[in-house]
Amino acid sequence: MFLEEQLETLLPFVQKPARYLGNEWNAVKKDHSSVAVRMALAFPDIYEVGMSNLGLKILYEIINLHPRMLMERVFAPAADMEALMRREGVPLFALESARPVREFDFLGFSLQYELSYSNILNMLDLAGIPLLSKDRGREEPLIIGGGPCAFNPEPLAPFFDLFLLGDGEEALPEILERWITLSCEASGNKERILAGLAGLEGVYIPGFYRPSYGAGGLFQGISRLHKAAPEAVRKRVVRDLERAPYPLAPVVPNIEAVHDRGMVELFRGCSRGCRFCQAGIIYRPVRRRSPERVKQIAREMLQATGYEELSLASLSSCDYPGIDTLIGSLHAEHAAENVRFTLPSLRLDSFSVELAQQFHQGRRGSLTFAPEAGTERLRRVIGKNISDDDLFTAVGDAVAAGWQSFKLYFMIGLPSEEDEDVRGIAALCEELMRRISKNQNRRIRLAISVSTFVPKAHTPFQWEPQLIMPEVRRRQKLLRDLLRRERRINMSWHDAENSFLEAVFARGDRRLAPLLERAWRSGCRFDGWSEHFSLQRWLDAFDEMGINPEDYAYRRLDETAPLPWDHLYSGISKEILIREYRRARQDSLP
Amino acid sequence: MNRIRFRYARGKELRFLSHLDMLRLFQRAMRRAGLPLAYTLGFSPRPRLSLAAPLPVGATASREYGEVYLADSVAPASFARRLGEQLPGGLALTGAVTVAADEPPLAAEVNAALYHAFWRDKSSVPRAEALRESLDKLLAQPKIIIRRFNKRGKVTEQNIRAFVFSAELLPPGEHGPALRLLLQVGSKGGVSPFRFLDQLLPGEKNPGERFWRLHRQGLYIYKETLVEPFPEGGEKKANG
Repeated sequence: MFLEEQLETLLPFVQKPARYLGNEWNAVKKDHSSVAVRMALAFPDIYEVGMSNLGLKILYEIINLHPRMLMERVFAPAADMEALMRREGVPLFALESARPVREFDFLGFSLQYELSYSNILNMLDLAGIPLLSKDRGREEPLIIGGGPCAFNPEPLAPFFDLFLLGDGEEALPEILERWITLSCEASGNKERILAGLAGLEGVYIPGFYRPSYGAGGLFQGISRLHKAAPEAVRKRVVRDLERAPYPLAPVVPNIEAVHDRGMVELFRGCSRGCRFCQAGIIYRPVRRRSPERVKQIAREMLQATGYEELSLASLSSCDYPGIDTLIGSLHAEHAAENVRFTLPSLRLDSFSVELAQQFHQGRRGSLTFAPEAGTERLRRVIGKNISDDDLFTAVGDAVAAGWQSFKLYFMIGLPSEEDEDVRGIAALCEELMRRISKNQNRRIRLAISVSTFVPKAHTPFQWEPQLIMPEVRRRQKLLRDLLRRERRINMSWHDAENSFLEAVFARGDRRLAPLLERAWRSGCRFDGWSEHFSLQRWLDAFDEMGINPEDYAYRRLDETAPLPWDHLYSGISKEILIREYRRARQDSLP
Repeated sequence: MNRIRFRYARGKELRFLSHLDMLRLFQRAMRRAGLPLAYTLGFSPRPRLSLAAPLPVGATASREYGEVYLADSVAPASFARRLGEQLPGGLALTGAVTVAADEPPLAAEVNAALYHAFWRDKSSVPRAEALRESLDKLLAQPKIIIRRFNKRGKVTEQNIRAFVFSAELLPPGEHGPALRLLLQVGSKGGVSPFRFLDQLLPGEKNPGERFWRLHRQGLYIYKETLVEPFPEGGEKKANG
């Protein structure tokens, strides 16, 4: 094993050393000399978070099934490990071989949330890889990014060589295959390799485009610098999900991951058109797996992993036709093995008594619903057309089936929100508790989680401003005060500061890249973790760079003006988004 | 109901797993092997699986033991083969035997652990004489007090002298001195070998983990002699 002796001296002194050792069941260790292309897939957060990500599991298994390719994993070292690695001069290494990641041909980053950007720069630096694409030559790996944030990767543009928009299970093997050919033909010339990759659908080479800005710093548009670069990059879509490869033998972590269970994806995409939701746009269209395929995946995955819990995952699993029948037959098939089947967040209007009963197998656990807003008016504005009665009925049914613990997701700061809507959250929860406690003596608990609205690229709300921080805090407090007397309701909320930074980068452009580097150099990392996050450090960096973050987060964008991500096509036209944006403003009128 | 005791070794690949990690790993390996696990009754059924005396995080081991109840009868040889195939690199199954239902549980039987500690830090090797002196002095004390934090974050003191059955120098290893420690484990109290090793070089920060690589030779039932909690020739029975 590479670096073994150095690791021996570091690992006894860090928290959870098993994060850095791999050696899990189903981990794939290939001989580097036996393949034609080697990729390290990086998740810019700690092991336990990264190992819960479905995309990583899918790509890992697909690439490693290919005889000419290998993929290894790497996660962001926690602060204690980073300090020791820097002190001892140990470069960022991949788990399977403990080889430095800079020796690979590709280093891929999973772009799941904006607050992980500082970790990306930190990982490149720890790897000993120059941060900027223009400073990297044939000796360094190509840096590629994919995942939801690839739909507006502009703040990351100068650091990356390419991005992949959309589904990766067909596109990534194609990219690696094409690279094998190109790297021989182009004898390592990076520009020629990138030009050759630019022709693949879904591939975006940021270095082949240049944005321009007008007076007052307004974004004016982007121009192509290279003839190989398409006018607009279309996202990749796997047409036939039923036949698409799926990870049947995912790596089973030795230490407990955040989601320590198997994941079976029922379908990709979502047919609901919630106006704030980016996932609902970028994962379109809806593509389902058949019940037979789902059952086959479940069977083989249980066999290959020994998991005691399988999550039936999707953006809205209740919308799967015949979901209760499916769960019933999964329970029947695996009755002797003591397997738990779970669903992520549930739709209120498609939750049924049958489903509630299928799920309740005498185990503790809670059901999660996402009403998002406190009043029917505001839910109409955001395109989430469910009524208060839907909530009362769904939870009532679940209580009747034996459930006692519930979690509800809400957002604060949605467009057109008034205090009445915030009070509506409290009123809704109290009314819910009143109704379900009436005939029951049992202890029913309600946890509500309140996040802050972040306008996201490619959604109908991309033009909307974010609510200013002091006002977010005031509304959070208003809600807290209203719920204080209700002891059975436990409220948690997201820090307004984190959401502000998320909003800045979600609608960011390339001028944020030097700022990001400055912030990282001043010590920013793990910004999604409240114990590491410091808004002041970020504000200082903005100050030094002469950028006002409020211009990005708090501005209402002009619907006729070009947007920094207009050349990246999600599959939904701007006309449709504008139509929905206008409808939302009409719906907001009483 | 079928009760099986098994023996395994842990290599350096998995040396940083905690006791709970090990339990989860064995549980999933047994499920993959299709072994008919027996579950506890009640609201959230768990497999009836236990591992003797938690192995310290960071330690490798030669002879560790676990016990599991199965709902159907499985021959020990078949159990060992099927489970062995499902263990990741760094874990090896070295035997399995059937245990009568009325025998005491493993946790009640095992009361001693034998460790070998090897000096790991090439840059600062202590003289064997100095170490011997320090060891003799420590063992001559009527009390060895260690301080640790309890669950509420308060410092508590504990006298661990009675948990040290013996501690002696071995012929030097690759990087320097080596020690043989026989320590008490189990329900009547015990001490982590790292915390005992801390006492040998006081003044350093975490000297136990910092300077010593730890290997657990075995777990024993210790009365007058050391007895393995596993029948003589257990492997043979397992194979036949």
